[in-house]
This record gives sequence, C-alpha cells and structure tokens, in this order.
Amino acid sequence: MIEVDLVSFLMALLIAILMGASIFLCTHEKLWKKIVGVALLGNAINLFIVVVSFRPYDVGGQEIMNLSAFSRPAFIQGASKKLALSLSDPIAQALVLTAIVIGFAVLCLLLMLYLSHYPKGEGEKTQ
Amino acid sequence: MIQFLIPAAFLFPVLVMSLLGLTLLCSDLKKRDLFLIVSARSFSALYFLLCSFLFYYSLNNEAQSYSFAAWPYPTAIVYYLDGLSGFFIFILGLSSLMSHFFRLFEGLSKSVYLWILFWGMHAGVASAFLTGDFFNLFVAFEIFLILSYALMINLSHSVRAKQLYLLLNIIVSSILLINCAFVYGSFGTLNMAELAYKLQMTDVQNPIFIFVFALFVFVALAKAAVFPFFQWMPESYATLPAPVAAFFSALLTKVGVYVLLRLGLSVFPSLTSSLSPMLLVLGGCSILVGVLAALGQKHLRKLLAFHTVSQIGYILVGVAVLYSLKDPTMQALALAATLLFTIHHSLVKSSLFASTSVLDHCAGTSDITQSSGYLKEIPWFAFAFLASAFSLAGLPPSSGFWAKFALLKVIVTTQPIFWTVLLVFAGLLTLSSMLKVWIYCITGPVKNVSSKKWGIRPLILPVIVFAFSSWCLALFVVPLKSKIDEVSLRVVNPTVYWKTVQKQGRVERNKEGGKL
Repeated sequence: MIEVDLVSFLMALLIAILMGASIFLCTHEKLWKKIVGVALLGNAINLFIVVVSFRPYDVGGQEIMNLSAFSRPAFIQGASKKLALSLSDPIAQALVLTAIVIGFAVLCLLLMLYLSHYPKGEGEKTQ
Repeated sequence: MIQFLIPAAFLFPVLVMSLLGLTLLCSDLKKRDLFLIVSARSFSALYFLLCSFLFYYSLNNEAQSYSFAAWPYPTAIVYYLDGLSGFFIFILGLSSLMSHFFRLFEGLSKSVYLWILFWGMHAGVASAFLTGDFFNLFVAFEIFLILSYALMINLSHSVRAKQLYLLLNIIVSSILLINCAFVYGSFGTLNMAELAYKLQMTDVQNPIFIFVFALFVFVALAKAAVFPFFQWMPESYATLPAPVAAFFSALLTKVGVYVLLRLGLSVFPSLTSSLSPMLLVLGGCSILVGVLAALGQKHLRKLLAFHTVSQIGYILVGVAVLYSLKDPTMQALALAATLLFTIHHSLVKSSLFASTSVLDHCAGTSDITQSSGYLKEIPWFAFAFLASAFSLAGLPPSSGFWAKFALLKVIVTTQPIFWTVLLVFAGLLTLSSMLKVWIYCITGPVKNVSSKKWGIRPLILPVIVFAFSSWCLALFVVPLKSKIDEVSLRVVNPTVYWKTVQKQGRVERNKEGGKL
C-alpha cells in the first residue's frame, strides 16, 4: 500500500499545474506564448524526474525487482540498505542536470527563432 | 580493436566538428572555403569507411557491447553493435557520403557553421543508433535535433515550417524525457538490457511496462512521420535546400524506425504481437495518404517529401508483419525485407532529391510547371531521373522491385490478401505521380532549360551516380539479402541483447578486480 503524504501530493499538484499551464500555452496561437509554454514544460518534466526518483524503498516494486540490485545509490559498491536509505539517488540528479542544460539550449534556439522574425519588439500580428 | 571503433562512430564526427571549427581562424575566405570542402569530403569518405567496417564486422561477428569508462554493468552507459545497429550505422555513413558529394552548402554564406552543425548531426544520429541506454537515447535525440533546429532556422525560408518543426520535435522529445523518468522511477534502471532482462525474467504482468512501451512507440512513430503525425515532415523538409533535405529525409525518419525495431525486438519482445495490428493499419494509412498527397503536389520537393511518408509506411508494414510473427525464421525474413527496403529508400531518395537541385538551378524553383524539356536538352539527367523514379515505384529489375518483392513475399504468406493488393496498388499510384513529373517537366517543349547553363554539370553528376548506385543494389541484391537474412536471425532472438550486454559488462567489472 502506497502512503500518500502531503509533500508528495503537493509536488504532484505542482507538476500537474505546470504541465497544464504549459499545454495551454503551447496550443496558443502566438509564438512567444508557445515559447513560454515550452519553458514551463521543461521545468515540469525536471521536477517530475526528481519526484519520481524519490522511490519508497520499502513499499512497492519488490515483487518484480530484486530490491538490492536497483534501489541503492549506483556508485557505492556493497552499500548497506541503511546507508542507501540515508543517501539520495545521484542518477536522478545527473539526469535533471543534463535535461536542464538541454532545455536551456532549446529555449535559446526558440528565442533566436522569435528574434529573427520579430525584431525590435515589434511583436507579431495575429492573423 | 572493435571496442575502440564502436564509440569512434560517435566521437569521430565530434572531432571533425572541432577541426572544421578551427577553420574560423583562417582569414582568407577563398582558401577557407576550399579547405572546408576538401576536408569535409575527405572526412566523410573516412567516416563512410568506418561505418562500412562496423557494418561488415556486425554481419560476420557476434554482437558487441562497449561500456563507457568501464563502469560495471547496470550503471554503465553502453553502446551496442549488432546486425541491426550496424546496418543503420551503414546507412548513416552512406547518407553522409552522398550528401557531401552533391554541392552541400557551397556558395552559401555562413557556411562554416552549417558544416559544423551538419557534422554534429552525424554524432547524434550515430549515438541514437548505437546506444543501449534510455536517457542516452534522449540525449542523442536532442543532439541531432538541436543541430537540425539550427540548420532549419538558418536554411529554411518559411516561418511556419520552422515553427512547426521546432515545436513538434520539442514536444516529442519532451515525451521521451517523461518516459525516461517513468522507466527510472518504476524500474530503477535506464539500461535497456537491464530492463529487457527484468521484463523477460519475471512473468509478472506489470501495466507500467505496457504504458512505457506505448509511449516509446508514440515517440518513434512521431519521429518516423507516419500517418497521424506526418504533417510536420513534408512542410518542413520541403523548404530546405536539396542536399540537406535528402539527408533529413533519408536518415532522420530512419531513427524512428530504428528505435521501433530495437525496442520491439530486444527490449519489449513479449508486448509486440499486440502492437502489430495497429502498426499495420497505420502503415497502410501512411502508404495511401502519402502517395495520394504526393499525386496532388506541384513542387517536386514537396512531392518527394510526401513520398517519404508513403515509403516509411512500407517500412512500417514490414515492421508490423515482423511483430505479428512468432517463428524466428519467418521473423528474420520479415526483418531482412524491412532492412532491404530501408537501404533502397535511402539511396533512391537521395537521388531524387539531388534531381530537385537541378530543377532549382534551372528555374529557380522546384515547381514542375516552371521548367520542362530536360529530355531534349540534358538526356542523361532525364534517364537518371527515370531510373530513380522506376526504382521508387518498384518496377523490375530495379532495387525497389527487389525490396518490395521481398516484403510482399512475407506479406502474402502471413497476412490477408488485402494488404498485398494495397501495396501493389500504392506502387501504381507512386508510378503515376512520377509519370506526372515525367510528362510535365522532363519531356515537353524546352522551357528554362539549357545544357550550357553555368554550373549545371556538377548538379547532374550526383543524380546519375546515385541512380546508378541504386540499380547496383539490385545487382548485388542476392548476396546482400542472404547475408542480411543470416544476421537477422541473430537479431530477432530477444535474449541475445541482454545476455551480451550483461556478459561483456561483467567482463569489464572483473578486470577492475577488487579495486572498487
């Protein structure tokens, strides 16, 4: 049985709001709103990765996985379960770091696209 | 030796990127351009040799895996080379060579940057073909996508095409990233081999597996531009210059096909049979929609981009048939037919896109009503175009015929007759759209065309060479097919993947001994 605590619930709510806002903005007609939407989407996904990788070590998953093989921090050989529980997972942080860098690059390109077509703050005219 | 060559397929383009970047220091523009053209072409030839060697190796040897920095097995990012990835790496080398041998970016300003971006895409695509790690797959996708965004922003003239291409691909790769989070959160690993092992060794039916697989299939299909998600592809690729469009069309759609094949064959083999009817229907729809849309196009480049949708549909039907089968020998035949079709498509599409640059050069546009009379003025070009068109439509004895024949042979024995009829009918439609180009543009009175026009010969030569090479494929089809059949039999065995990665990963771990 998975216990739902307040922090997880709030995190899930936050991710849902961010995702919803980004999808709303991405479907908007104007390019700059789409760009904001893409930026929000990246943040929502990064948050999602962080939240998802806080795995409850004691509940769930045992029946399909060999627990000791996957739930300990990756780079410590032979870590005890107690030590493993006291450390957070480095892989998720590595993933988020990479994803942030990539998301930043994509955002820069999108802004470049925007600036190359609508220079000097003229904005775009809706058609 | 092979252990160093597998990552070299990724590292070599990165090295070339930095070397080409050094030319920015050179102030003499004429010398710089000459140096760029010569060096990029020779690097491309070298890269082709490397890719061919990897392909040759993978045909004749067992699968190999390479762990980066010799990390132990479930942690390491692995590269995996077997018949399937070797084959797609070969297509990458071939496409690279072909795009470098028609006038890529020559005469364009800012060309240094464009060459660098182009080589960076090689690195991303190679990494996507070789990787055995989900997050690394995402990174590889992003490498070639970001560089293709930059190319698209620089080269395309249509604001709409740019927006469509960027936004769609950003959303698709975001879904891939969410999916990585799902995989890591649910299974505690991002290693494909580890996931395959967990899926195959445990008989627990976990709905998460199905969910994750469905999302991966969605990403692969959207990247391959098949039926419901195809609109972005003709719109955006058709606005690019011919060599770049050929590279995109011949290669980037293949990344989706590769991901679909790799995940279905090696990672989620128990889930594929339920996926097969959907893929079959989507493939059939793409074949028809692509070819019907192509019939209505006036611009040759857009027409060809729609044909890409239709040809990817054929490949998808091949994949669907492969997934519906249980018997390994039949699966191997289906896989071999699909692969043969893939390489045929890459060759013939490059040739046809090369011919659009001739139209561009003569009339300033690839509109088929704006220039005509090529048969009278430049007969060599007309015949080369006809050869490629026949090959695309699958008339005997071209390479297209053999590829379609192999595919139909599998379909006839395993699927209802409806699919055979559909494929043959779509072939006729393809032929008629090509005949439309032939009648409007190649024959007819001479208009805007002159064989004396400056700079036209270097444009015609690649068309002839590519058409010739695609017919050469037809000559060597029998030995090639038997070799691919043989290697496919190894690829369709779902346990080979994780066993190889586990075994070779453990070897690395033992070498380290008790140091850790």
